[in-house]
Amino acid sequence: MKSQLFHLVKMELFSSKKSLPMFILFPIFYPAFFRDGKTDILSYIFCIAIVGFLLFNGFAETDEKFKTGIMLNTLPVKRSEIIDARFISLYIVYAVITVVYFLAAAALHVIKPDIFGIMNLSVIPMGLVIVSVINVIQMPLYYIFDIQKSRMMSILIMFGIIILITFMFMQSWITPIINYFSAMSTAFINIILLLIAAIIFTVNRSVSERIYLKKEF
Amino acid sequence: MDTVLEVKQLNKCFKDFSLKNIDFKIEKGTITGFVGPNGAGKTTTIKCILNLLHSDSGSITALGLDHVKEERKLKDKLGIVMDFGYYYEDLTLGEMKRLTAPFYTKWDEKSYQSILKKFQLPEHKKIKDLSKGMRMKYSILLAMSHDAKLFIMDEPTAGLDPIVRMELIDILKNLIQDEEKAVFLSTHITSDLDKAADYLIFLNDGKIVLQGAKDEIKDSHVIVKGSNKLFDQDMSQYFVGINKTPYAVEGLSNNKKAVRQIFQNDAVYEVPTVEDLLLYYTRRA
Repeated sequence: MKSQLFHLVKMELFSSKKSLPMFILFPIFYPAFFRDGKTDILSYIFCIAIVGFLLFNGFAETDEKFKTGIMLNTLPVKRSEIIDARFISLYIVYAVITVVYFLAAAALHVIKPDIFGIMNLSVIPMGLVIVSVINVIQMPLYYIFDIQKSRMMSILIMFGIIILITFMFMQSWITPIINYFSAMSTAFINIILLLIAAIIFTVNRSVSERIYLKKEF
Repeated sequence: MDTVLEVKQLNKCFKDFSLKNIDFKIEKGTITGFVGPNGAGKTTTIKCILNLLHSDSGSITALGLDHVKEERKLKDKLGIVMDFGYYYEDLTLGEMKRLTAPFYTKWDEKSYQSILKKFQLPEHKKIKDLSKGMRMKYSILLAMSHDAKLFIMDEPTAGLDPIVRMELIDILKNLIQDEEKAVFLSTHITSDLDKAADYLIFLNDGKIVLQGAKDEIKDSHVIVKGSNKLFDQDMSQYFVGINKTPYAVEGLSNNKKAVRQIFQNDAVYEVPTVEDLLLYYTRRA
């Protein structure tokens, strides 16, 4: 029943009604203070990364605090629907945050066009990749361990990835690769990014669902 | 009678505890008490029935539906009350109801409103601000508002004052009046079962030690009380358990005929309460 999924998403979002406005307000002020130039690509990516980490942790904390695993699994729903509902809820919030970010950036551009650039839609695929990476690190770990352990492990993995990327960019062999991709059209790069995001999402959904199906409450 | 819940050879192992070959049936129109001391495995069994825990072996069928393969269909027809109502506690009762109701195909708003009134629950109050009794009433209210056919309740009376417990017992008795519903109720407060239960299942250390119709169980057992001199070692075979004090002896026997022949008029015979049965059966084991 698709309606069960809808009700689960509604339940997930409504239960976070206290914290969600904070996430939605965050991108309104964020572009004014943290910007990297006229395009603001990095600024957007950091914004979505911060929100991505905090948002999932917010949902997970709600789970732990109210033992929602038991509550949800006594309702007439499938376990796979519970996982799907979480993904849908997360992506709905990301979509709202992106729209708010773009509107805030556009407003700043109107006020101070010499300082604030207008946001380009082409940053969205990169944002999706970031969101997918953050989720694929956090979600399976959370469904295996408790919130404390999974949060620590997620932070360590994320730092590890940042260090690895920094290290890679310091290597000489990366330059031809960057040049190769720089020569490609933005549209082509965005298609690749969307594909990467879709693959990561599919793997995450499948792994999280398998773990959750075996989970005991 | 129609079987509404059938648990066959259920096994579930943990590091330090296991459920062993749990086997029982629940019939329509009855209240079955699932009795046992703390840690006997009552909650584990209920969690297995609800697929919150995965059993190692055995089968569970409720309302003719497999508890795993047809989980969603089954849970639509179950009225579940857990020992501690699990809800989003920052929400009000009304908000939680509005989120919960759409999941059920037969949500009965009229019934909800009528029971809400009867229970005197404040819909505008946040769940976290409810007392233990109110919280349990709210759980029961939600369980009763979607035309459930089987009610599975884990320690619903624990922590409640006697008045609220009495109210709850009356509610459960009324529930089964139409002979279409059944209640499976775990508890260690045995006085509730003396009043309400039709059938009893005694669980101890993960095993069923006794089960059957409450009246038959009571009828087939007897509490024997007498002086120390009356009892000797050989008689222990006639008793489920014996409790000796310096001056007197009390024991539960499942062989009424034999003990009456042995002690005749020298002992006092009493019908055991559910608590007596629980104490003697779990003490022996």
